[in-house]
Amino acid sequence: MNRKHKNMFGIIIVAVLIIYLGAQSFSNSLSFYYEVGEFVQKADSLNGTVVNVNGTIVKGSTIWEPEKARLTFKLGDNNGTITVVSNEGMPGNYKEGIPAVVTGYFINNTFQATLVVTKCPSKYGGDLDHGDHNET
Amino acid sequence: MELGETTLTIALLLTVYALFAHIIGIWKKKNELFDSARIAIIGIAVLTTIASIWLFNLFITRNFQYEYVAIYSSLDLSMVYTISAFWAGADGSLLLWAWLISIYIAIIAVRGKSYDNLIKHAMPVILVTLAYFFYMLLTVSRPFRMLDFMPVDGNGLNPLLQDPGMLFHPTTLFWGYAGVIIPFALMVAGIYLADDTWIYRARRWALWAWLGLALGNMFGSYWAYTVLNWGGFWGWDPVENASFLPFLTMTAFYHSTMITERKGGMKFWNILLILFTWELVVYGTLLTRSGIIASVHTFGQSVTASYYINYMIVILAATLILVAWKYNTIKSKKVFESFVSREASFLYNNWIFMAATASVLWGTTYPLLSEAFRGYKVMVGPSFYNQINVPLGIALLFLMAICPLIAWRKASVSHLKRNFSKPLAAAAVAMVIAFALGIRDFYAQIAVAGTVLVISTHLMDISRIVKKQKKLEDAGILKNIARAFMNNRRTFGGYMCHIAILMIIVAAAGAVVYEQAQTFNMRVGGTYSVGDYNFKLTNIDQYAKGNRDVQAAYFDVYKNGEKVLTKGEARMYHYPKQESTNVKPMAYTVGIDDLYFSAQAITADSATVKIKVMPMMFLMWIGGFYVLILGILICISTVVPIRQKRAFDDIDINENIKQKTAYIDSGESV
Repeated sequence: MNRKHKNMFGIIIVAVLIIYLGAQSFSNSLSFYYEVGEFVQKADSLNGTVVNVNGTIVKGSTIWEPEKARLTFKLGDNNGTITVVSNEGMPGNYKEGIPAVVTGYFINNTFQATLVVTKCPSKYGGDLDHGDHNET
Repeated sequence: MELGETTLTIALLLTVYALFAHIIGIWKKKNELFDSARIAIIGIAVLTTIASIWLFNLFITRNFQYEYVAIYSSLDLSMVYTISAFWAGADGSLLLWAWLISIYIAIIAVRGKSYDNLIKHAMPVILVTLAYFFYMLLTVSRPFRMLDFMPVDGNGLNPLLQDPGMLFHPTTLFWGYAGVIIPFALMVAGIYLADDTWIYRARRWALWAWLGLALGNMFGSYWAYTVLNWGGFWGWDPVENASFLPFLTMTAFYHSTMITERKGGMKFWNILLILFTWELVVYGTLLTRSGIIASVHTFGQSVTASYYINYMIVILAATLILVAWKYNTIKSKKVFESFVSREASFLYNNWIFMAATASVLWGTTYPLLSEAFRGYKVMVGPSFYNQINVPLGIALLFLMAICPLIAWRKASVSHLKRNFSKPLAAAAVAMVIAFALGIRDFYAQIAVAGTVLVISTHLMDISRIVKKQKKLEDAGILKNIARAFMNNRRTFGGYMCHIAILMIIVAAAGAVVYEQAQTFNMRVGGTYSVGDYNFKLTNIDQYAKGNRDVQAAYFDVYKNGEKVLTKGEARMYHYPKQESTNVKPMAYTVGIDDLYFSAQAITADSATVKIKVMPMMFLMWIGGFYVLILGILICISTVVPIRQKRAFDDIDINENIKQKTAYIDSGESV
């Protein structure tokens, strides 16, 4: 094996090592992403696994306890509703009736959220107030 | 017809005219067609500017009959954010993008002297893209769409976008996005004409685009740090990744062009890099503006997604077909004689950037692929990105340390000893001192060693350049340094960029490794400790400011008994219009530390606040905003003279070859 081959061999080993490390960390970093209806069906079989659940914050469901920095609300879609509890304070842009993704685990019929992320800053919008419906 | 759409329609017609004028001009060799096409291009810029000013005007006059204005602004929105609402949504962002491209090509068209054969062949690529964007602006992404009723008020701008950072983050990013198309088009023209000079022509625009991308990423990071309450400066969110990817490939491109310029190698690689960069720019727009990816940041589907995907596929296929057709004309010279050489260090640099790009692209795209092919959605967490990119960042750090002093062609053992023994010794001493001072974490030690190595090798090379200048003409130390700087601006500018990247790496290492954080439920008058700091909650206040209600908890901060900060604030904003509550993280730089307050809840007499002490963060903003930008500007200032010099050199070389060939043909010895 000449020097060039040795060098190539070394580079290939480094590359394989990086790919191996990447593959290892990749599988560990994956977390499932469910809609609320899907999650309700699978919740019992997940055994406390950390997952992400997407739904809409149900209007009139919010309980905010500032002295404990605890936020409780219902997250729902057409196929189900779950109760979410977060002890991480008020998430940015929190508002009832908008979509949110919660990350956490299901225990005692409650979703313990370690992260609540509400609708994206670059995806704001919504229904417009028609007012008096001045047709033009 | 409405003014905005009328101007865009005329702009589309002019774009189509300019496109065909170029194609027919090239085909029939009619120069007068290019003159009229150039006037049309200037007209496109004027019309797009009118359309953009019109949209600004619609926002300023709060004309809610325009749907885009009604969705992204409201009566209570301050004027500065009313103006920035222009690019708050997908439609306005596309208009901004088209506007910037039209200005760039107008600058090229105005400068008639440089409107040569290469530009004439490059311009159709840009015009096709611009026509496509205008078509989208008139059909599926309409900022000037009118409602059939007049809303009483608009929805208002997302509170998180009501921040000075949002004035600059999208604008700088799109300045970079728009700039990338010029090197891409020059590359296409260069392949078609088998003209390698496209690289030199592309460099200035590549640097300009790179400056925009760098600023866009830095503003995005600063916005995440001071507004988003993610608790840090980077979260590997798909939206962040989307702007980071073209920055990575553009950085690789800029480095590999140096090898092309100096040695005539890596030509095919450059083509791939600039193709990837443009594709990633469009992909970034697809991710951030169309809602295609299943992540925390996207909701619902958009009709524009298929338009961006189709464009990407057509551009990729057309470029690859062109490359395959002209493959034999893309001849790179063999430049790598040794794995230990300056050339090889550029190659490794490119591999690192491509490995980082591949990992970020994979992590960002995998949720899409998983949903499409495996039927379930997943999310990729930050741990994946960190595990891959932290080692790559370390490798890059040491490569930066090596590159200024390693020899071209092949570095001998004696050369390595001569150049690197002192920096290595300095790094070893620094590590020992740092260890003694308590900096013992592996990554912190790496950062210390890397810092000393990078600074020492760069200083040694600068000292070598100044000595060379002194040999040429000794005019005193200060004049020698000034002249060395003026004659080697690209090297000095590049080194400044290296130092900026070093500062960012050190800041990231310091903030991540030595971050201290605690969450307290505090009472007014109470004192709480994080690290060496004592935080006393002195007061809680509520007041209205603009379109929001503010709740603020005030802190006095002490270190070793001395007050180091008065009235530091943790804030929460409530926006009655949006019925939305937001945390406003506040960061204060005290000495080398950032004190970071993130309120979780504030009541009349208590506050729940997460307090972080993050060392070295100030280096990230100084490095990223000032040193990096200054370095790039210094590099940009050198591009023109270097290209001209290079062109003369090429002529001389060609003349020499001709003379030598003539001698050989005539049988005379050379």
